[in-house]
Amino acid sequence: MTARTKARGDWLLHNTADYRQVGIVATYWALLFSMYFVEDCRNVVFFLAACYFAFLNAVVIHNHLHKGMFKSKRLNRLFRGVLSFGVLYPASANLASHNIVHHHFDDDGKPDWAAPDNVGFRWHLLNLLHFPNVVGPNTFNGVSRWAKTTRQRDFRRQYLLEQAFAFGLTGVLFVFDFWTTLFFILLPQLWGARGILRINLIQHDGCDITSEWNHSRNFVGKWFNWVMCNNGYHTIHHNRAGLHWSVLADKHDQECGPRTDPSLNEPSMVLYLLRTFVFGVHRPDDEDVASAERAADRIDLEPRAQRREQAEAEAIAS
Amino acid sequence: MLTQQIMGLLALGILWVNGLLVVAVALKQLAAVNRMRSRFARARGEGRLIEGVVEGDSPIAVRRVEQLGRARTDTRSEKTILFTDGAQSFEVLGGRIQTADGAVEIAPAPDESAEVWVATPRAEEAAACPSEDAFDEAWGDANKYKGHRRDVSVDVRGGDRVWVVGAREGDRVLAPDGGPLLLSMVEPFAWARSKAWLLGGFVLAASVGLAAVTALALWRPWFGTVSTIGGVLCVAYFLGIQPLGTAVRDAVRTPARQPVNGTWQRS
Repeated sequence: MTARTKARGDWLLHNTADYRQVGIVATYWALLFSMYFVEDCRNVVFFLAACYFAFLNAVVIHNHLHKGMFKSKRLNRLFRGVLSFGVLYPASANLASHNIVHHHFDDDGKPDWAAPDNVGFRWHLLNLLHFPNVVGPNTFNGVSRWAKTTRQRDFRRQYLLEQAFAFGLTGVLFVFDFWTTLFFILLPQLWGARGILRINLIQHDGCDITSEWNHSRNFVGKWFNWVMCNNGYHTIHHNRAGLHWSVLADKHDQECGPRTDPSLNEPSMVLYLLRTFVFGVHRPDDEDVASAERAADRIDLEPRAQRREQAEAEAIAS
Repeated sequence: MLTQQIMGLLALGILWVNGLLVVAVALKQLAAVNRMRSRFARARGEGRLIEGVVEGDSPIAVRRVEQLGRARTDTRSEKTILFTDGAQSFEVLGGRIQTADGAVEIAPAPDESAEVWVATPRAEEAAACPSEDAFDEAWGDANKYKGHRRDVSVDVRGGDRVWVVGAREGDRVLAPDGGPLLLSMVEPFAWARSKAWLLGGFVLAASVGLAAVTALALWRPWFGTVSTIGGVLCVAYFLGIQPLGTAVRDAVRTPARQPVNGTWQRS
């Protein structure tokens, strides 16, 4: 039996593991509106938790846009609106920016909009800070262009609705209480949106995007992946985008094991960030991380062009 | 408790860090443009930058761009194909140019040792739809997932005024060691000057804007009406400076890196 067929759903969800994601979003909304309405909640704990859950909200967008979690298509679309408010960008942008362009490191012959070489400071911490300032507009422009030619007929309407809901609700909150919204709604939203953009730098800088098994950096800590819905296993996610996040850990061990350079399996993201961006001043030199892949047995993997085509087809269907 | 003052300082800190990062990148770009202008000046002083008119009918250089065309699906009024650039290459094919001091031969240079700056109208001309039949042929593919692939060649040809930067051997200019032979339809000093002005203006405007919105946000009484207007402008600045920064980045790319793209339309 394959990992795909083990999925167990109920009347609402394709996979009951996704209740964790629903819980993440519900918790995030509770944190945001607690701070907005209750003055006593405007403290460090709530604020930091809201920023963290904003990032997790973006992780849920990522998972949900790969495979809608609800059995109802309408509910999937509605949930995209809810998720869009959490990070103040339309969730459906992920269809083009992530599922199609990023997964294949290619935009019709041009580089990924979120390629690490979009930033070039010698002090690497500045690259981490500045990355969203460049990649955000790249992504917005790219999605706008993609929207003009997509064959997903209802994309533009859905994209517009998500923007209307996200910006509309945030705007209403601003009108009623500008400063509280700025400090306790907008800052977490932007932290989440910019955090998920930064992940592109964290997960791909110094990797070999021309390889099949060493294009990504993985963060393999068990607790980290429980909280992050297995988004630390990035190599296997890129190569098998159709897999549900709940099975990525097993698949990572099975397929990436001998093919992925051990240096790309980081035990802890926090330690990696500290080592690379805080204690390490300069950007690390590129290494031949794909040597492990060349030495290992080959494994069946469809060509990238074919996988890209499948990604677009799945985007249209979901 | 996170007071408004604490959060205000945090928000201003975020605004300033990101505003200054965008300005720092523009300053780096300005330094790169100025270095390029200095290289041009040095080359002119050493007789390695020459200006002249291309002789003969054959192209002297070419910029080749692989493009993918996709049909627009957001409009039904007319059929439109949007082309976007993929990989590109340059080649100096070689030829002669007539300068004020006489004819100079330009040696051929292949892709890795050539860079060709074409003028925008010439690129537009090369990317334009040649005929209705060509449109109809492309339209079918442009509506499919894989799109319509084509190669665009933008020529520099006889009668064009060009500027060439390379190594000089008597009446011959060739690719220098360790760098490309540059053949440009764009006057390089004017190009560098206009980009330097753009970047300098952006740095100045971005810095003044950052200081101005901050001053308004800190207007006393804090969080009063004027201060709130300042807060709104701070948010607008934060959201606006990022696309402005990337727009300036795109605008100051050398002509060799400016996209050719193109749009074909038929009603």
